[in-house]
Amino acid sequence: MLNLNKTSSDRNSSGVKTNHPALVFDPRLCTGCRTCEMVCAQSHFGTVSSGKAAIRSLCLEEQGKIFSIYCQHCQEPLCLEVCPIKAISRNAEGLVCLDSKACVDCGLCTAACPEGAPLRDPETHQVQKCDLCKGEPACVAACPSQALRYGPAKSPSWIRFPRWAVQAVAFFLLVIVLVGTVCSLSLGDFNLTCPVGFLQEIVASQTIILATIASALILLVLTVFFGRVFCGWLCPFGFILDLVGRFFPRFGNPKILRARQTKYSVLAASIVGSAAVGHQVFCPVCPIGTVCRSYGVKDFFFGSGLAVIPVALALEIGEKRNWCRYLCPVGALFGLMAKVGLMKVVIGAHQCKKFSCMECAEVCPVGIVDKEMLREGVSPALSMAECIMCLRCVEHCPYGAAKVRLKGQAVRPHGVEGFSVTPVTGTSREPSS
Amino acid sequence: MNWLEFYEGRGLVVDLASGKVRQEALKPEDAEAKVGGAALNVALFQRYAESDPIILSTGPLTASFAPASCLAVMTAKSPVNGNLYHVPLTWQAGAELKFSGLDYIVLLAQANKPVMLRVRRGQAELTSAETLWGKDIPETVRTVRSANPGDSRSILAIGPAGEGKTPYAQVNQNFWGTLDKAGFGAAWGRKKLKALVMTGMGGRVKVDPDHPALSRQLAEEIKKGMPAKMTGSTAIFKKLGEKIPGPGLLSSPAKHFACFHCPFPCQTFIERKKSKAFLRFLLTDPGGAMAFRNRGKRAFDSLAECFRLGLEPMAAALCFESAKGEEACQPEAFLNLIEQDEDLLKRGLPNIQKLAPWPGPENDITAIAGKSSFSTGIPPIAPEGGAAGQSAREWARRVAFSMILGVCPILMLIAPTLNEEKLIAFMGGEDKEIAANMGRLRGATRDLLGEMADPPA
Repeated sequence: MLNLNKTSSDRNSSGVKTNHPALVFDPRLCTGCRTCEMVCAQSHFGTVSSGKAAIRSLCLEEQGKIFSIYCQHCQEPLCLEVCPIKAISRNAEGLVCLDSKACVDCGLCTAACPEGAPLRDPETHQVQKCDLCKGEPACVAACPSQALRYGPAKSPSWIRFPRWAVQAVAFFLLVIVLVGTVCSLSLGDFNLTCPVGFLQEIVASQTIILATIASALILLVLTVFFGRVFCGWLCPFGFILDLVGRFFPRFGNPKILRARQTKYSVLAASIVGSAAVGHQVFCPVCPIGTVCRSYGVKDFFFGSGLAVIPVALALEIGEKRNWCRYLCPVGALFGLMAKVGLMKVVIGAHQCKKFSCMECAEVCPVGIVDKEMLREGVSPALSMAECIMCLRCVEHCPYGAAKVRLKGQAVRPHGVEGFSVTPVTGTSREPSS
Repeated sequence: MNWLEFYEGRGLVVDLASGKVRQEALKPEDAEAKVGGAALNVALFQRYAESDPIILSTGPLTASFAPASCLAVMTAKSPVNGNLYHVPLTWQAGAELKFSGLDYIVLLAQANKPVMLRVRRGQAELTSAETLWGKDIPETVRTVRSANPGDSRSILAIGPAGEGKTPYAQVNQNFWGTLDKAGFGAAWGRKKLKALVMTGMGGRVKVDPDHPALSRQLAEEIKKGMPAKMTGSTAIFKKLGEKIPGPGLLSSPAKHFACFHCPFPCQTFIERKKSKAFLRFLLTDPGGAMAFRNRGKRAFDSLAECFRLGLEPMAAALCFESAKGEEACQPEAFLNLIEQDEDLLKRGLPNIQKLAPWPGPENDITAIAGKSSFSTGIPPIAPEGGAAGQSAREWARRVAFSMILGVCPILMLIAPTLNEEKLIAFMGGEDKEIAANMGRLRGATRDLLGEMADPPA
């Protein structure tokens, strides 16, 4: 069994340890035998009684679903806040603990908990809360179907290294070495053209150069296959935002500046404006092009474009990647392609610990993981039009719930109440026969 | 651990006619001689025989750490032929009864108006069920649960079929059917007992600290003894040597369920899209499923419909076969026809003197099962490890042991590594005490089975 003390010490912005070992329940494997309840009561009270257990198995029989209620040791525990006598506290390991001697069994914690996890003994009204059996949960050992797992938070943190490396190399090549711009780049026979610049050029000049179609399509095809991978891994301006964003304090955007549709309006305005004035109207102020043109070695710190970058960077004070979220027309065009693309990032409901974790919502640079849905106990569906495929959610998810999947692959998000939030497509186990 | 510590030491006697509910102490001599379950029920039946009792009891191992300790046994005279039968109630019924602080419930006489018995952590209450009368099973369960959210884990109820329409009615558990093939649904209906709602949150005070580890060890042995990749209802049909009934029945299984503390999930949740909606049910009755196997895709609908109406599926399947006309082959229409035309009832019934037999091919086990006092819904699975030519006798012995101790008979039949010695070992004690417990169990089994109770040579 794993030792609590052997885990690493990742902490979130509030200083709370985020990757303490956790009890993870897989409803697909659970058979509803209630052995977990029996052993929990036995190990804590020496009796077989579901009323005394700190874990409870719930069956929605008509839907064929089973759920398990137990303390999730949330990052933002409401039970801790409402306890009038502070009998609930968080220990050094990040676990939410109940001092049963101090507890007056008022039940406010049960009422406050979104899962109803501090369970009350119906006979004595005493509150029971999972303490993970000091690192050796009896329910995990006894579960005959291995529906309960216990282990350290484990996330593929190595993803950050290839991402930063690719971002740095892309920045180095596009801004310093190649001395072109990402707007239009030639490497021997290989041509790359910014699709938004290409669209503006078409409508402005009213001519289509067939040779440039292929070069403009390259990034769009890449997006169809891999989502907005350009934004997350290749964009030189995105790299700057990621770098400096680490040091910016954030104050949040006013509501009026939180419309993601704005970037589509910017895209439309750029194309219509280009058609009207006869030249590309957005390209002179495009931060991506500007990074290459005004800050590259060719025109090092040169021109009026210099002003664009500080303005875009200033937006970071509001939210992470503010420019990419709300204004970037290049991202908007890629978003349209990604929407019909082949890849998706999903947060698998079976592993996701929802309101107790919310790590994905914390790290997502474009803020597409809906915290409110997680608070309600639902694994949110992610919009691929907005996702920049940076894979930070995959990298940080301690329970392996965030995954990259093909568009057709079935996912079946559940709420804690067991009601599907998307049409049932069925990921349940097939019969052995 | 003293064997008496496996009992709650209390029973409930409910006089439905007067509405009086009283507790009585479990007599140690009853526990000593009859052990529990079906054998105890026989003793209680004889004691209260004048009041036409229906008895539900648990065994000493019910709700213990013994594998599949889910069982409650219901005993009464069958409305079909007037003989005494024992029906195993699996899923959560036994555990909830025991967690309610009771070893048994005796239901006496007949109520004047529809009633519902609610048992809850040592409390019992007989309430009016007039608003529930006439409702089908899902409606009844939903109504009971909505009135008492979170407080009705196990609901035994009858549907319209049990409310005086046919003797081939079943007592259902929660939303699904049971192994009741004795027509106890009609017996409940005759007593105007619509539902028995059990919520147990209390339970035995003391547990042997070695039991969880022993339980894990037994569960591992059971799993090892099973053929690889056998799970869900499919396992039962494979053990029976039968094909999976009906292409529409198990074509889309979604999930497997286990009864209380059972390491082997033998119930499959069936989920099938019909028109724009989903039809869902838990396959709790393998005999019922087999009875409809010739109906192809309609097998699913017929079985689900029987569960909804509280109709006993094995008998219903026979009725449909003998009834003429398409309309009579639909469970609900069939019930309506019975209500309107008594002749159809007589014409349609398979055999008024017999319970519906197991729908598979006849063999030694089905023959002995047909003659025994056990419900014919218990699958005639030949137990592994029995002496050659003695499988029927071994089947009866294993079923009897399980029905006395409070362990699921289906697991007892399909798990070759599980036997009475291992179960008796759960009751603990020194060698002498184990031998005494074994002697008590064999004695009680002999009372049920006669000379068949002796182990085959």
